[in-house]
Amino acid sequence: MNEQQLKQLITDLAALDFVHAKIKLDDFELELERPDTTSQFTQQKQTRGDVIVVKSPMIGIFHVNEAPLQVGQRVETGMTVGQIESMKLFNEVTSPASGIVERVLCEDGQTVEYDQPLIEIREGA
Amino acid sequence: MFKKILIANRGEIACRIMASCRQLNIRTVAVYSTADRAAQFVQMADEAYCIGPAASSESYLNREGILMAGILAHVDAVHPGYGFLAEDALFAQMCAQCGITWLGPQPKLISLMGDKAAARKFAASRGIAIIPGTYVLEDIEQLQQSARKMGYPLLIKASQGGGGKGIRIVNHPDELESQLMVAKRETDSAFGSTAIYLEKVLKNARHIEVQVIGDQDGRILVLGDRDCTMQIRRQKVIEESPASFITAAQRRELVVAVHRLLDGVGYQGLGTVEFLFSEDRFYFLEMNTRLQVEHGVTETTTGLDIVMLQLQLASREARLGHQVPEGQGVAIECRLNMTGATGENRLTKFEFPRDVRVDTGYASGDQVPTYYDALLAKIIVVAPTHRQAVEKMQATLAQVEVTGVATNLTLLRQIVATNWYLNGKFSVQTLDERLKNDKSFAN
Repeated sequence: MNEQQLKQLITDLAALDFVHAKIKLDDFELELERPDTTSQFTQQKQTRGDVIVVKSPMIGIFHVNEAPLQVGQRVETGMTVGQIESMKLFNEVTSPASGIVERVLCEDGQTVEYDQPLIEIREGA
Repeated sequence: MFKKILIANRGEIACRIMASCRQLNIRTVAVYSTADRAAQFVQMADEAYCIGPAASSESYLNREGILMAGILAHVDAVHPGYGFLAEDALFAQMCAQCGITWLGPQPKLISLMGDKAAARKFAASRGIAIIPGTYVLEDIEQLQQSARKMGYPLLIKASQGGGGKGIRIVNHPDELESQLMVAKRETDSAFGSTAIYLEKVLKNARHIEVQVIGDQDGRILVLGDRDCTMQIRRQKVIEESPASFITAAQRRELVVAVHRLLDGVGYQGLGTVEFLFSEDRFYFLEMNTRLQVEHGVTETTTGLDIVMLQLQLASREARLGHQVPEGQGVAIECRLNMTGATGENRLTKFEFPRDVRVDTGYASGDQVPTYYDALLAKIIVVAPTHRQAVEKMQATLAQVEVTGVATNLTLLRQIVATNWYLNGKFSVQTLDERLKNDKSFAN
């Protein structure tokens, strides 16, 4: 499987709602676990808070956490949601609010500009 | 030749540099602040990266952000334009460290000429007349002593200033001490240095400057001279090329002075050596180690594209000739400036006659950000004689239409209609005096 196919697979998977997945294509094997937050998530959607968009504080390369942020995951104010690498320095991006991750808008290793939306968090949820 | 160049600037000069890149099939990268998202230069670039918020300290002066954009876009050179980081030796050095060609002179020459007191000393050491004054003096008593010898009025200048910034005038000995205190405080906050020196105020001075270019081996060629005497509070308003009111002998004298200043120092790229001309003598004022706002008048009379020439020399794809290019006619440039913010500050109308050169970063319908310099457009006309050029400028300005933003258009029209302008009977202070004393002048 080449890089492009892998990227495509990741994009396709991101759109699907699953907790556990096992993919086997020829000699390529991928096993994925996602925290089960669906039920919790739907519940919180009913008590809608404001959506906070976390934007990039600088131009650089976006890096996800060791355990990448997942849609539906809970984050607290001040928690590191990713890093921006700029001029070989890694700058932590922290969450400005507590809530649930609603969307992750950029991929690991992606070039991001100043002010570019990175993550959407539903506040207070 | 370079394949991709990042333009570390905005507005008209970014557009201007991109135009030359296109001619040479060089791809362009723009960097911009959030206030410039919809700007012409961003649309014109092949690639564009937002590098910071509206405040230029965090965007157009953000060295790391600009360089990161250059690295991500894989550019092979950076053009700094004028202002912002154009005379920042540290940024030039950082570009080199990242393996990106800096389109300008070596950092040590930028530093030398950027320190205005050091540049004076350097010019004097090369046998060039400098404006009577002092070197950097710290001691108040020493300053008072020097001031007594020089006489009044005199100027207190910030060594890290230049371009008409960081200057205070002292008319009377009683004011000296208090003005020195104010000047030190001001220069400390504006330039992070309290280094100041004194300079005599020259009588009836004209501002005459020489455009130079240096190749990679530091060989210098003079590309012509300009008269930039028409100023408001030391900021240029109208420029001409060539300087019409100096003689052929004086022109030769200027060329000799510039070579004496720069031969053998290894100067690369574009630069302007500025002089004050008073009582038939030239005095070194300062040198700007970059492309200058008013370069267009030199291009219009010489037929050169000096940015293109700079790129060709920097990539060693052209050689400098030995001849000063023979100028044709007289070119005049008017700087159309915004004079104040009004509500939405949107150019509802922004129209110019089609037969003249207009360098601008705006188009009809654009909103003008108020965070940056006030320049809206440079209007350049050319004609066989000075008189005809003035007449052409009068006719051109009559057809310019700008609405939605407050401008100096009325003032420009008034200046070019006067006899003292037509006949060259003015000094660097004339316009300020007229604005103060003649109420019929638009302010």
